[in-house]
Amino acid sequence: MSSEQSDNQIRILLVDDDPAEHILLKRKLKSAEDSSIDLDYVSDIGSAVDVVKAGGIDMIFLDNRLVPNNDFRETAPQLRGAGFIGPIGIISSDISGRYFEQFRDFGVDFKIGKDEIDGTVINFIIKEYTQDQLSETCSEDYM
Amino acid sequence: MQPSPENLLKALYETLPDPVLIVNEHRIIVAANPAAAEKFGYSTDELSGMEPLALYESIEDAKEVGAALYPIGDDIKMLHRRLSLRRKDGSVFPAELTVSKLDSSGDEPIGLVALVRDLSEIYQVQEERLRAEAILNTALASISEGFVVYDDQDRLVLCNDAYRDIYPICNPAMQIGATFESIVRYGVDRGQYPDAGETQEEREAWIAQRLQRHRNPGEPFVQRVRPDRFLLVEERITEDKLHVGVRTDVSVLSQAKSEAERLGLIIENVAQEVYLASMTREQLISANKAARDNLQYSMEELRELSAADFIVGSTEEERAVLMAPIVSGETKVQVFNTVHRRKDGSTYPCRVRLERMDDLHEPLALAFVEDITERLEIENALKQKEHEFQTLVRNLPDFITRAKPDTTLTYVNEHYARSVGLAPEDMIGRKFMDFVPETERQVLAEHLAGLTQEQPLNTAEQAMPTLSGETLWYLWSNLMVFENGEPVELVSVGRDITEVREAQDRIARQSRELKLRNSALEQFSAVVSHDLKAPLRQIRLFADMIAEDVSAGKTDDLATFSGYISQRSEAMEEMTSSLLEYSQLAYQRINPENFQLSEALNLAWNNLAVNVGEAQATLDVEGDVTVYADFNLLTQLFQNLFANSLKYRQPHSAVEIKARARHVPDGLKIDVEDNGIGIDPEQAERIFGVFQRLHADEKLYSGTGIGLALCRRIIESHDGSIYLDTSCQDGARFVVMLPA
Repeated sequence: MSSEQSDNQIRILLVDDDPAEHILLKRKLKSAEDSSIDLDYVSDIGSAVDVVKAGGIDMIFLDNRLVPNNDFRETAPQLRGAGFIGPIGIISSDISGRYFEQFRDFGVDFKIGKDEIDGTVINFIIKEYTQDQLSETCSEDYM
Repeated sequence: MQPSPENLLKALYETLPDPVLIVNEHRIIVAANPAAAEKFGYSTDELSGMEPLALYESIEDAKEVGAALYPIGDDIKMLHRRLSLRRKDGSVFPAELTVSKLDSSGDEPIGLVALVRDLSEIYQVQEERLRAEAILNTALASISEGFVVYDDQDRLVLCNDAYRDIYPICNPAMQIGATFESIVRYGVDRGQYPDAGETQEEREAWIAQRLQRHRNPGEPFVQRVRPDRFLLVEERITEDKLHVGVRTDVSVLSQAKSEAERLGLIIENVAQEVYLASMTREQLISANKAARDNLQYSMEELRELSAADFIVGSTEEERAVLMAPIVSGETKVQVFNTVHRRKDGSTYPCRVRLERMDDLHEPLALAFVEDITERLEIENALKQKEHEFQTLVRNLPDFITRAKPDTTLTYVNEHYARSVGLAPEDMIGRKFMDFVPETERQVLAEHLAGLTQEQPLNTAEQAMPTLSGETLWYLWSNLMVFENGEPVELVSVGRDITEVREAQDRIARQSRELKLRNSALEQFSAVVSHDLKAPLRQIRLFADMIAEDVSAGKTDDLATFSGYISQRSEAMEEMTSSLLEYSQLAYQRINPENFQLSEALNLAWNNLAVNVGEAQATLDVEGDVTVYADFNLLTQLFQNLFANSLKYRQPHSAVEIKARARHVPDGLKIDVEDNGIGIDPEQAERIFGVFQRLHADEKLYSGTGIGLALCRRIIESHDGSIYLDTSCQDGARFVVMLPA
């Protein structure tokens, strides 16, 4: 596992059996010039579970197909089972499969094509799921 | 000597049979004749000096008579009265009392003379007459016949109630003393007599005839007094010129007569031939129109014929034998077929029902003859149809049975009997259930119990073993026939649907295969879209990154990025090749043939010679058997399995592969076992998917993950199966099953 983290920063865990994806994501985060994000990387779900149990992860980008598992329906529940309550996003080269429609049933918060991931999208997701947990309507209730 | 008037009076007084009492002006009896003494039971002496009061039964009568006569004066001439008198013994008798004044010589009334006439006998006679009248009236009223008497002037003297009931319309005119003619006219005018005619002339003529008959009675005749009521009129004149008439209701007799006439008419006109013959004279008495027309003889001609003249269906001897039981009276009815010959010589077959009739003055034979020409034609046609039906049923491949509701067989076609191994006649009388496999009986019993008048037909599929041990499937259609709500017959037809079921199974299997293929295609497209898009995307991104770094003058990561590009390009090439291989093999038609399994195993092993040498692998084949399969595909299957064993071997260890083939009840079982790293049992099914790899480390275990998917496609195309034996502990063991 690689880790680049500092205090008061967002820690994102990338789970992907292709190390090239780690390199690519790192590059995209770098392009986004957002230094508040720390990207951790593991290549299998077992390691991801260990990282989650260790704590400190704010968000997980989970590759849909992690060998030898079929798809996220087998891996995402393992992360939830490890006690992770933060947002989990499924990333895949192809999210057109019909089973992706059921992602919420398996503890997944969003799905996104790997092609779509860039700095803007990552900032938006971080804002949506980590910094602004309450919707405007809900926030008003607390005012 | 000439008797003096005094002597005559005295003699009359003495001999008069009626009592005579002389009473004086003081109401004292002064004299009484012997008849009085005898009637009242007193002596004449006792009567003399008595007061008459003692002779009255009631004091009222005595007072009234006394008041009327006393004091005796000129105004009283005579008293005449009926009353009751009392004898000395207290008995009473009715009497007629006549009292006259008794004048003296000076015409001075000196007393009264009372003449008593005993009315007992007269009353008795009257009572007897009244009783006789009552008896007569009762008798007349009690008889159902109408009874009437007219006097010599034709005036109504009497009639009973029945007579009045018979002529209800005339009843108001039936007054005693009314003439017969007036009563008849009254009835004619008001419709009492339906046959009296409509016009005045007709009625007058009818009345005249009626009067004529009445005045000169002769034979009884029938008269209609209502449309449905008939009377027998009997009239006679007595010696004292009284017209006595009796009316008897003969409606029933008339109706019976008309019914007999109607029956005769029906018999005459019925289409069936009817003959009546004398058995003693052996001669036809009568024949109806159908008989005459069909035989073409008149009745007179028929009476002249003997039986032999028109009955030609049998010889005289045969007829004699046939008729003997009837002639002797042994039997009453005889039915037989014969042939009649017409006058023109043509013949026709007929059925005769001959009945002996003994209740008449001579034994007669009544014959009903039916021309059965058409019937025979129909019967022959029916026989032909029956024959055709039997032929059809015999040749039908279906099983056909008829049975009682309790499944006792009454008919079995040959085809069914043959399948059971019995003759049809040996099955009849046995229960249908006896021939149903025991395992199916309960289901069939429930099935039959479910047949109702509302739903008399249902069907059920049933497996039936044949005599050769083969199991065939039959679709049984069971129809329960109901009559008056009760089941009377079970008709069952069984059709062999084995081929249909096999076709259905085949279609189901093909559907399953199609589903699998569709699933594989879906998976294939999903994998292609993912696993081919992923490296392409990466290549593009790494190329972009290289461009960016070059523009920025950075060169540190260029080698890494270009390395990824090369790696991804190679992976894509491999995948493309694998997909091509999969598409070529997975869906090709198989060309099965018989070959030795060892041939395919050896060829597969030799194709991997380089890898085998590198892995220092050995192959141990056990049980060389003949296989019916596609040689090339099966070789490819074993090649992939061997390649898998070579790839996933234990590091630093020689690969040992064992192939073991043996026949099992379901077919041929081939195990391919290695001593490699083995496979997690949880992945036992997943490994057969396209591009499914269990190891991400390409450096250790490279490959596209398509080999086992191909193995499954190849074996499924042979209707076989392949699976991972998860019980294998040391290495991996794949089991290949090929159908027998």
